[in-house]
Amino acid sequence: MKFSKKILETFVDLPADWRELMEDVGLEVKSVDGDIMNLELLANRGDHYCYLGLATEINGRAGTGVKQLQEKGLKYENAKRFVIDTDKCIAYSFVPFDIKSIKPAKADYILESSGVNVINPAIDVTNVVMLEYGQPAHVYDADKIVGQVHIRETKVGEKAALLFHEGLTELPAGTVVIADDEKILCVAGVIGCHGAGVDENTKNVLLETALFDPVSIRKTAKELGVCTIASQRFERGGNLDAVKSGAERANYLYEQISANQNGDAEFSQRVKLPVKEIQMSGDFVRNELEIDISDKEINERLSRYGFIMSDKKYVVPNVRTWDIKGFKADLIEELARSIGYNNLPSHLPIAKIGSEPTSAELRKSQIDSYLVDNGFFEVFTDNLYSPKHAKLSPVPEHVKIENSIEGGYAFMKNNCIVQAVELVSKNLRVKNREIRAFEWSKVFDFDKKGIPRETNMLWGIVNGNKESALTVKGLLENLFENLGLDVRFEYNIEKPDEEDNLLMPKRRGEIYYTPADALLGSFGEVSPGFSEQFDIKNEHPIYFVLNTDALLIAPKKKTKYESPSNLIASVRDISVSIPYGVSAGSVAGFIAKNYKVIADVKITDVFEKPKESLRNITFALEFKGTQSTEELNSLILEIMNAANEFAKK
Amino acid sequence: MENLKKELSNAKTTQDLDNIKSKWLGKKSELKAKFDDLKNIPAEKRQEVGAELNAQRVKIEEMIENAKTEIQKRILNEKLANDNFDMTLPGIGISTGALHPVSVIEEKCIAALRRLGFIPVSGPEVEEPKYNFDLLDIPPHHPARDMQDTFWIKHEELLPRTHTTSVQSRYMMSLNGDESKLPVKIVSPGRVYRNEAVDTQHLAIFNQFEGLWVGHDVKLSELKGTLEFILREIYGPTVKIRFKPKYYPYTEPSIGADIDLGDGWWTIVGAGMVSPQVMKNFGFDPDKVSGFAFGFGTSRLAGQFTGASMRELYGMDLRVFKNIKGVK
Repeated sequence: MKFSKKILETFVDLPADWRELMEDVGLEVKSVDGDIMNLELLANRGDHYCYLGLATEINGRAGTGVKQLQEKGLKYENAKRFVIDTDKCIAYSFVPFDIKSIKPAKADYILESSGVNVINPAIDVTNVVMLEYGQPAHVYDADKIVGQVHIRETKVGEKAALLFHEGLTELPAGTVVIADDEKILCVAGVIGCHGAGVDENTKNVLLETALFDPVSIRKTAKELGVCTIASQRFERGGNLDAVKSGAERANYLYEQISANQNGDAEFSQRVKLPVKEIQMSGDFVRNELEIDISDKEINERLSRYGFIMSDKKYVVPNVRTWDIKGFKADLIEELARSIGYNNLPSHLPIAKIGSEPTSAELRKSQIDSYLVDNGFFEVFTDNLYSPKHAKLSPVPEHVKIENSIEGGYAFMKNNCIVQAVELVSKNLRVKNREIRAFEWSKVFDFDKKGIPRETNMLWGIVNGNKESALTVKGLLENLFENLGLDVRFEYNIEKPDEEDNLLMPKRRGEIYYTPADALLGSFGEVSPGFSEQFDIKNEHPIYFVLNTDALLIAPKKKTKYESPSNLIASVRDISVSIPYGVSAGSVAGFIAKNYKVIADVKITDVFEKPKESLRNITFALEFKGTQSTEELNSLILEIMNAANEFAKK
Repeated sequence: MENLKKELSNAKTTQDLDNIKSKWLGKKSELKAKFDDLKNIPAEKRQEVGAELNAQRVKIEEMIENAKTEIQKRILNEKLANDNFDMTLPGIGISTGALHPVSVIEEKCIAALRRLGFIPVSGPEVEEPKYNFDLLDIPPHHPARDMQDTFWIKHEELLPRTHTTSVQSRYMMSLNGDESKLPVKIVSPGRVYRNEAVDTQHLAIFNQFEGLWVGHDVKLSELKGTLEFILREIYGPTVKIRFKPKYYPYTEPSIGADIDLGDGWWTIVGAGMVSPQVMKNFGFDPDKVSGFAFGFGTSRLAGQFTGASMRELYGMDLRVFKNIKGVK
């Protein structure tokens, strides 16, 4: 909010380092343009939204006093012209003025400094009072009011002709309005209406000052989509005292421009606000703030903010009744601001012992290091996505967001593959083909009772010239070996889940944690049909996803050290012709299962013969024990024949 | 010997040397024949002749070995001279990736706070208003609960959390008001969600890092000391720090900490003493138990450290992260 420094100085003396002081007490100076200061004010301090409030806060620190403005006292009578019909109006006042001879208000500078338009003298005075005292005020053309004024709540379907709005606007039921016998004059504390507005022909006005329930004002302003200086002030909680003092300041200002009171001032308070009192000793302050401060100084500093000691208790001033809750901590905060947070002591708490990472945290760190060492970049994608993403998801049911204002955030994501493939697409568009990325993420779905639940996932995506499903398989094999986890890889998945269905059937695998026979995750080459939906052509991204809730806590396998044998095992290669459709792994498994003399079978080479629809696979066979050359040759011949026969079948 | 010298000087390969060796020292060599003839030499001269023949053999072996060394050296030199390997070609191997800058900041903060005994805790991202708002003294009419600020999965029943303070609520409530479980020293890094318009510097989903210390007689001075400690761990010992008043519904007093690295003041941390009402809500007597809380916008810190915009940091363009790798 914008204020004039010159005008502020008519309320309080500012020191040379005024900007530092203001920031030090919570009045953040965002910018200064000549005499105009743009301030960012604390959200809970409605009292700061006026010159008097700023001056009071500055005086809380400086202690140089606040200069009082001139007011002209009013003698209030009971309300006759109006009736308060709702508890959402705490207090209300009317003061009539004759403005037939009114002169210009000379209020241009104070109004324009804060971005308020100069309209006409009667209205300008109300705006000056609002900027000076923080008390919103309003004037009605007294001659346009029909019958008695009621401060009441609207019924269903009631409409009003709001200022700056075309036609009639339907008001939500329960909106607090000021209405006469025929029409709604004003939406209380938010915006005026046509009907009893002041214009160049107005001769008599009724000055309104009031205090409304802040929650009610905030709801109304939000529902109508209207934000005025008055609504901003009222929704943070107004000042009961200013209902009268604001009217008295207006009375003085009107008198200065030849507008005079021409009837009884009327005041009514419908709701009695509780008097807040806080009991706090000097010892408490000295212990909490760890400073040497006398009881007298405590009282003096608190009195600058309006907290007066009475019967050993501090009475909270009306202007602060909304943000002060009644705890000793409230007063500690006032004192801390008065003294300055930077002037209070500071020291580290005594920490007996540091903490160590848990095994899950260490494992996550190990996985991070492994992936980074292997060229992966960690990314953060959104856990919410658009209807377009949701449509691409392999799982139709989504946790929906009721009120997203950005269309991109309509659903909580229930898979990771959509964003993973989108990442490939986005990088290909900027000619970046070599992709290795991963993310620790979450997916959201519903449990059996229909309650949203979340599952922690680690996903990765790989793309590039030298990448294939086998490179990712190798990466994962090495990862699990590094982690010491006993896992097995399975292929030929009979019942793939929805996400795995987006991977090529013969280029995908599942990973099981063997001790619990639990599915840990899956990987595979993304199906071209799915990639094409992201405009990916002639590329073969490979995706993996792991359930990290299991991954991070699965116990490591226990292995014992074995000294390497001095006997160098016999290793012989055999080549087997395998028709397309037969897996090399099944042939290796056949050999290992049927020849107990074989200690290990490794696939060392693959030679494709597409014209013959077969592959020549080289297997390196490691033999147990010792055999003569003749025995080995005989065995190799036998195994090769058997393997070829198995492959043909 | 002159002949041998000549033959050796003509030799080009080690094979040539093998042939020369065979000729001069082999079974059919002249020297071998002389050795064989020793038996015919009179006994009194045999020793003398034998010694002379041995000397000849040693000399021949030495000459051949020297010639071999020369040839090997020449061959190696030729091989090295003819090597066409191009070392200006790119190195082969996997270049390393990198953790996300937000993860790096989080790890840095956690490492610093572990020294004070803090432990990281996590909580659900889909949260109940009770933990996200109510326990934190953010009543239903509070602006922070506005439809504009909060994504609602079901209005006033379920939401993606708006701050990681919800994790602190859950943790504190799990203690059931049992003072013997104090002190609590936790940090809760994680993603949060705000229903706000998105631009290059504002996101609807970003990361926060919050800390909570609750115990007996925890003081404002200790909050200040802890914040100074963390900020110096992150920004170095010479960073300038100042404190100023702030407002958060769940702390009182509430403060902010600004830093100055030579380019003006930046607000980095929001913090405060846990408000008495919140302490009551957590099931503890605020006259006996006190604490402080603080929170960083780790996304903003990551942007500040790397120079990348929020949108870049939360985007999918891997070139951003490759470029950030070199930024210290």
